[in-house]
Amino acid sequence: MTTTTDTATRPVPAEQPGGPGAPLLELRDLQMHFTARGDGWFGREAHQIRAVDGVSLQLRAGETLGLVGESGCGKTTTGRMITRLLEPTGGQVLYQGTDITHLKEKDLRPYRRELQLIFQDPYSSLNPRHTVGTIIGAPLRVHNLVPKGKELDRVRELLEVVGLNPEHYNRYPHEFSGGQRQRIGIARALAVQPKVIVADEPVSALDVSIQAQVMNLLEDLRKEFNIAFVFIAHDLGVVRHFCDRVAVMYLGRVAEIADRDTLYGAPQHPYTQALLSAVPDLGVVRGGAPKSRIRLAGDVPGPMDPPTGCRFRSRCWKAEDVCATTTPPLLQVGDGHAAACHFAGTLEEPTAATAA
Amino acid sequence: MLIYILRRIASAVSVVIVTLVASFGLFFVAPTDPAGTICGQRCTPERYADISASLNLDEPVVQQVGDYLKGLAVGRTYHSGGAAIDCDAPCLGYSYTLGQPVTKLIGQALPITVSIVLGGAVVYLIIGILAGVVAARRRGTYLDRLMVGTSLGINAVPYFVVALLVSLYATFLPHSAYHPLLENPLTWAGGLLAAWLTLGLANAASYTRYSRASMIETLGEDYIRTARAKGISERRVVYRHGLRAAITPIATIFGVDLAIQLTGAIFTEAMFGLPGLGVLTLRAFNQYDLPVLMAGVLVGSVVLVVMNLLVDILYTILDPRVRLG
Amino acid sequence: MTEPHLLSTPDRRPDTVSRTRRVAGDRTEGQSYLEVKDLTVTFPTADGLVRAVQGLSYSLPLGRTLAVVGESGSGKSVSSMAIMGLHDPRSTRMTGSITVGGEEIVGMPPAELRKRRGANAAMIFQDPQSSLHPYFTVGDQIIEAYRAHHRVSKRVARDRAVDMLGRVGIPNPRRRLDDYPHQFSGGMRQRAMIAMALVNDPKLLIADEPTTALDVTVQAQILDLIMELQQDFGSAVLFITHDLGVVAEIADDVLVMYGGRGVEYGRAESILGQPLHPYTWGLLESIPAVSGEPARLHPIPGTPPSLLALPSGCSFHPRCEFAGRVPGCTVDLPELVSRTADTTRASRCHLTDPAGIFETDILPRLP
Repeated sequence: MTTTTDTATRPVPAEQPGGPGAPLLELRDLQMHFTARGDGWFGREAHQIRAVDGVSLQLRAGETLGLVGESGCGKTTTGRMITRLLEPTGGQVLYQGTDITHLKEKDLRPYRRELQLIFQDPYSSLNPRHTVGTIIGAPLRVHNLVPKGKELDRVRELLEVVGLNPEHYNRYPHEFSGGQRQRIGIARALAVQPKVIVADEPVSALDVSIQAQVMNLLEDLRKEFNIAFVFIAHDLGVVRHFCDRVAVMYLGRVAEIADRDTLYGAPQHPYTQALLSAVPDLGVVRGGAPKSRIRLAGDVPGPMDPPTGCRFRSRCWKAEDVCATTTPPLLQVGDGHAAACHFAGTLEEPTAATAA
Repeated sequence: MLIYILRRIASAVSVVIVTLVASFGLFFVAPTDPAGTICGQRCTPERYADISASLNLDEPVVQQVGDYLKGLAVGRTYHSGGAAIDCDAPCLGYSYTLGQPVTKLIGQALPITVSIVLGGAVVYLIIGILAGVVAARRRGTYLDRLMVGTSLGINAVPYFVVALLVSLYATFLPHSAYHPLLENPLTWAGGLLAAWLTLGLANAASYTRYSRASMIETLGEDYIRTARAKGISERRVVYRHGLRAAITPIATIFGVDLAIQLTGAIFTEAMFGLPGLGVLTLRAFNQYDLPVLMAGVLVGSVVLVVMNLLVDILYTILDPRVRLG
Repeated sequence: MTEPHLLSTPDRRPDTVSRTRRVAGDRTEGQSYLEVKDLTVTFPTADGLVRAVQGLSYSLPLGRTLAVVGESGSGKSVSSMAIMGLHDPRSTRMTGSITVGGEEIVGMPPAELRKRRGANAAMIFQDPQSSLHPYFTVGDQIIEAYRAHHRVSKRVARDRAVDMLGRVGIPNPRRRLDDYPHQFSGGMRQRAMIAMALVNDPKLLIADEPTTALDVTVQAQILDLIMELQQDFGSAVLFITHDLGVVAEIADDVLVMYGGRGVEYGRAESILGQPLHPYTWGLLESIPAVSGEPARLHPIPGTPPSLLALPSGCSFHPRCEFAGRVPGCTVDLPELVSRTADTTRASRCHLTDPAGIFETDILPRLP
């Protein structure tokens, strides 16, 4: 297992397509290895769980980057490292060129303001004993953003921005519906005027019609305040809808990254192809061309014991001997398009021959 | 699993040794005057010196601890006023106030306490869990409210009142006394019935509520719905699927309760005239009988550590997701 | 695709055309295995009467899959639990009729209900992790389900369980039988749930959001499996979901529910291709697609109604952008009836030309 982490595995950062200046946020070979202790025959044995294992990404101001992948792919862990809810065990997080990877809490505070997180669960991420005004006002107080006495005005303003009744600042979270609670979470994130918002599955707990409302809200806010988003989701449709660029993750690594149209239109990594093919598509009913049908066998392997070499090879129909021995680096296959597959670029487009 | 148990035993032994050394320090080395206290008010210097010497209080502390441990392992000999008293391993010291080796005292008291506590546990586990399950199944009905109310009522009453009520009203029970189990199991059980009933009733009240809460939570689980959807009988759903899962958290509480009761069933013992560990320790406390107090602490820590180990092992049996090793 | 052993063989999946043909031949009146007529399910609570399901009617013949679609609080799960007789009679009031294989379920004594549960109709649930008992082996749980309805020895039941695990695609079933659920992966657990549900050869399988908790590649496997097994067993499948994409994959017929009532019913092609109810339109407009030109979503405004106090008239009217076009939306509850020449479909809406509105107003803005 340890033999796969040689220099050859270090991913080559994908170039930004024509991005002027330094990126707002940059992840360099980011790693998060957890140690799970188990009792073995000879004392304690430590199992390394490589939740994130060498992720390099860049985010420009105002851009939206999607992180998609199935359970255990490390997308949530990556999001938590960006906002430094977790301290990475390796690699770097650079914000506007500053290394914030191992900053102490005190020094981190100004960056906390700029990097905000929206959570998946609108039920558990709001303190039920605080009023909405207190919840949204807290970051204002912590960062001393508003003079005393003006706080309530700002809270009302924020409530209005996210489409809630500004006079409801005195209510408690349980008096709101799921969608409204998610709006409160968004207002809280907006309160400090962040430059980056990491949204971790912000709509997946919501009903379809409410989900669309929140998506539209996020889109409006993004345009109005020019906030860059790292948008973490498992729903490929949602990510496609919201993001300029998309990174597909698998077992702690980036499998493929490209701009939205390229990734969905001409995926190069077999995993991306399989993922897209597995999404149930409404288009067929309305007379769209039937999709290719790639069915992967089995589930995603556990992060405790990932396959050697290419981590996807155990489920990949393209796998050959080289995949077991050599980890494919994330290499350029097109303009702003990189894939970590030995056969990237040579893969045929999934055609009718593979379709059912 | 075996490795795990061996390692746990090793760590348990080290916990016991640390407790032993720590309590030794507190009792014998702290700025107290054990010899003086034992000697009493009319103390002659000779007698004081004699007691000090017999307690080895004149020796360096490390050697005192060493002697104590050695006594535990191979036995030791005490000298008192010229006479030599042999104390066989495991020697826990010699009680001057009672004129007996501590090991013997513990050996007499422990079976009594264990008998009271285990018998009581059987009573409260059966009553408590069954009542809890019934209350959970009839949640919200008058029966449920009656049971919860009764349970709260019993808990609100001081323990000795429960004991008093049992001895006042349960007069049909045989007179409380301890007869060794091996001599005659029937008289053993008869002599302990009143104590069992008291301990059982008082604790059954708490266990009714624990198991009711645990059962209500379990009956709301998805897998209970699955079990119902299979078409098996409701009794099977409740007792096989529900109770099986609901009992796990109760096992944890039970382990702790049992450990506390084993070291401190003082009320029950005292009120029913059963000379168990609690009574022995209480007397030692009042008379400043240090060797007996030390032994009480030691037995207590062993019991606690062993109970913890047993609960953990029980957990692996109850819940297959918990794997040791 | 040079190594097909890693994929499930594509031709196992019945394509839409052949399924439709097969079913069309079977479909004659009176052959429905499941009949729900004017079903009402209410729960009296301290806050008032929760009207979870009202006036629900539909039928489902053998060999066919009906998808019940709706958001939370639409009554889709409540109605399926009612078919299984899983509601606590002390806290639930049910009127109307549910017949499974010709037998009336509503008002059936609990003991009788229990005998049928799992035998005639079986159910699989959303979260296989929490739906399997963590303390019993997978084998124990399947064997128990079989022996609840068959007087056979443990050995016979065990063989049956091995057979079923094999049929749902669990490799090495004889060995895996003695594993505990936590030793299975998420997809395997749902397969085991399916094996347990089908072990008694039920004619009706109710699948309540069976793939919602699963990863998308695993979801695809499970959907394939359900369709494949339906063909083998010839059973009726009631598939409850909120995901219209899944509906497109699996359903023959669709019932859309809103606020405890059915609002649109018909063939999957009609409902997804040319829906006639504004709520269905809103759902379709809310789903970001994975293909086609990305467009701004047009979500339904507002929130679903409280089941304690449903709006007057059509429950959907406060959120409906067409409610002003015709009189009566706020006062009269429309019937769920056929409103076009196509008698296989029905909708609960006062609009006079829904097909026209769909063509002109809705279709251009679908994502």
